Amino acid sequence: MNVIEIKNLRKIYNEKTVPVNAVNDVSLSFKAKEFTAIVGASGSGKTTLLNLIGGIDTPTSGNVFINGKNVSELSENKMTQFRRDNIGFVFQQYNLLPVLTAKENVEFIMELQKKPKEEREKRVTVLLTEIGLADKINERPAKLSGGQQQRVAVARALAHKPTFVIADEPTANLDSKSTADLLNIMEELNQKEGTTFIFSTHDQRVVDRAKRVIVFEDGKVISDTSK
Amino acid sequence: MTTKLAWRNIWRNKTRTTVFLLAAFFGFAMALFALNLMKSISQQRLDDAKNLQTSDLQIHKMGFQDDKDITLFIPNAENVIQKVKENANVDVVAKRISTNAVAASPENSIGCEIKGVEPTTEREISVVQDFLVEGSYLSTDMRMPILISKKTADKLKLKLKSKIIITLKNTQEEIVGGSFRVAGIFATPSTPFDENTVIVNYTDLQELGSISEPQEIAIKIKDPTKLIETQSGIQETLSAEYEVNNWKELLPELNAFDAFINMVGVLFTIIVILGLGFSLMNIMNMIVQERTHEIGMLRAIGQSKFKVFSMLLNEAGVLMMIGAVSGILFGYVLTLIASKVGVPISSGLDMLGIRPVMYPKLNPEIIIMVIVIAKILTVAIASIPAYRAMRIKPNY
Ligand SMILES: Nc1ncnc2c1ncn2[C@@H]1O[C@H](COP(=O)(O)OP(=O)(O)OP(=O)(O)O)[C@@H](O)[C@H]1O
Ligand SMILES: [Mg+2]
Repeated sequence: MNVIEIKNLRKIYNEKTVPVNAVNDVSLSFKAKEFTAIVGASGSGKTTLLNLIGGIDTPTSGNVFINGKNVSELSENKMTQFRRDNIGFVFQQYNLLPVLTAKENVEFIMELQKKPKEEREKRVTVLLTEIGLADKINERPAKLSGGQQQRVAVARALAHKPTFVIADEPTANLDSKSTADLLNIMEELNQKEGTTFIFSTHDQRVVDRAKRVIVFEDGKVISDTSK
Repeated sequence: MTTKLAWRNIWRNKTRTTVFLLAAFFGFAMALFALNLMKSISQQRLDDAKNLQTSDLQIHKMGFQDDKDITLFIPNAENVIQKVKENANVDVVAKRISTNAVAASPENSIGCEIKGVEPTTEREISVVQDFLVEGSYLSTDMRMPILISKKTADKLKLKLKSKIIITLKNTQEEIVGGSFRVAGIFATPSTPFDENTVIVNYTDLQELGSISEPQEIAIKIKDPTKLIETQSGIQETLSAEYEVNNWKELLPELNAFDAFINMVGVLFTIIVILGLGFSLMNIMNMIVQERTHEIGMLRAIGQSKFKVFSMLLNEAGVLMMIGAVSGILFGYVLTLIASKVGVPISSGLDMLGIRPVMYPKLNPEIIIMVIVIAKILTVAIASIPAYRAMRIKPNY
């Protein structure tokens, strides 16, 4: 069963002036538990693709199906709710609310979902232990290193047990040690929780860790290999 | 969580928040104080005028009000007084003779209104005795005592126990004169009253003017909120020959300045509120500007538009409410202190009947009004930036 299926997806920016085919007729599918890297030169359309899959952006044409549901047809409010309940996001930086502690950031989406306190607490404890930050539970992001912040972001993305996680260059601002740590955690959680991961990267060391690699060029898939 | 988040968010910029909170604190305190002070001034002024000059209700013979003609007395006054006393809301009833006269000393003379009162009942109904600066109330050990104001005493160059000649037209239309002795000198907050009024014993004036019946019956009522009902209740028991007026009808010129006095407090409050509203608007605009990125991130991970809107409204609410509540408390304390030590009012306003020192009372309805205004203002002002924030696209 495919978790995500995209069909003839197209995103054209500046259609009326200087059109940019950021995503140019792409069809792809992702199975449950996949651990996929999307690679390609700067401007090749990785971010645009991830935003379309994640429902942050709407395609010019084509459709995105998630668990068989055509999400491209959802209204703005329904889409927001869909993102909240089904997708986890990790961004390159500024993932966390600076006024909340690590714990509060991790449980933020569960709070939006009005999950009961005990359930939230339990989940947060498990995840923060998993990412090795049990002792930083009450620290605000400013007191954490960049790598630690990204780990908290991964924990937040997974807290509400989404169908899949989208991570746009999650290691771009990290040194090699932190990059390795983050990938270990992502891989471990991918195995343990069975969550599908799709991440974009420029970093060859990250690409090497992926189970499937999709290479992008000028908005098109030029290769798609699984290990 | 919403309040906690709002609380932490407002402290992201400590200086900005502190400055706003201080402004709101003092603004609300001063507005509350000013509103209470002005309301108290206006209330006191009305009370003074009423207590000095009219009492709650007055009965006259129809037509007397026009030129205070001494011959227009109240027929069967004792009968009328008995009837009035039957009304459940009536507290004290006093009869008065009142006519125009000339008061003269060897130095000078002035036109005035002379009032003949029964000292025992009059003391319960009027407050002139509270404003005596020299001497005593119409004392019994002095023959033909008279109370005059400090202003009249100065004009006529009179001292305590000085002689003063009162000339008036009696009921037989003859000019008659009597010699009175100054028993007391008063200075009330009401300049018109002081410039115009002299007070003597009922029986002395009765004799001088050959008057058998009073021209005025003054009534003090128990529950002032039932003024109009009591007035019409009494009027119904009397024939059309008698006219019952309430103090507002008797002192029409008072109400004109009343609105003006209250306006001062309201205007001050409006200025404060506009100032606070403007800074709140600025702060909220800055917040949206600074946090555009963060709000885009929140939208991306699934926070609804509505939640973004309410998040900002909450922040504005917490900000304004801390300022308002602490400011109102401070204003409350200020008013309490002022009600003990008094607030000096610049001289010159005594022409309007305003006391030189005011002891403001706290009006609960003013506190409620200020809170309601603060709430409406916050929602109205914060809604615009919150709406802009709500429309930020999911982004990161
Ligand atoms: N909002 C936008 N408006 C117009 N053009 C855009 C917009 N976003 C992206 N583009 C263009 O679309 C193309 C794809 O951009 P995208 O950001 O998806 O590439 P990317 O692979 O993520 O690059 P990078 O590795 O630098 O992050 C680029 O040519 C870019 O200039
Ligand atoms: Mg990108």
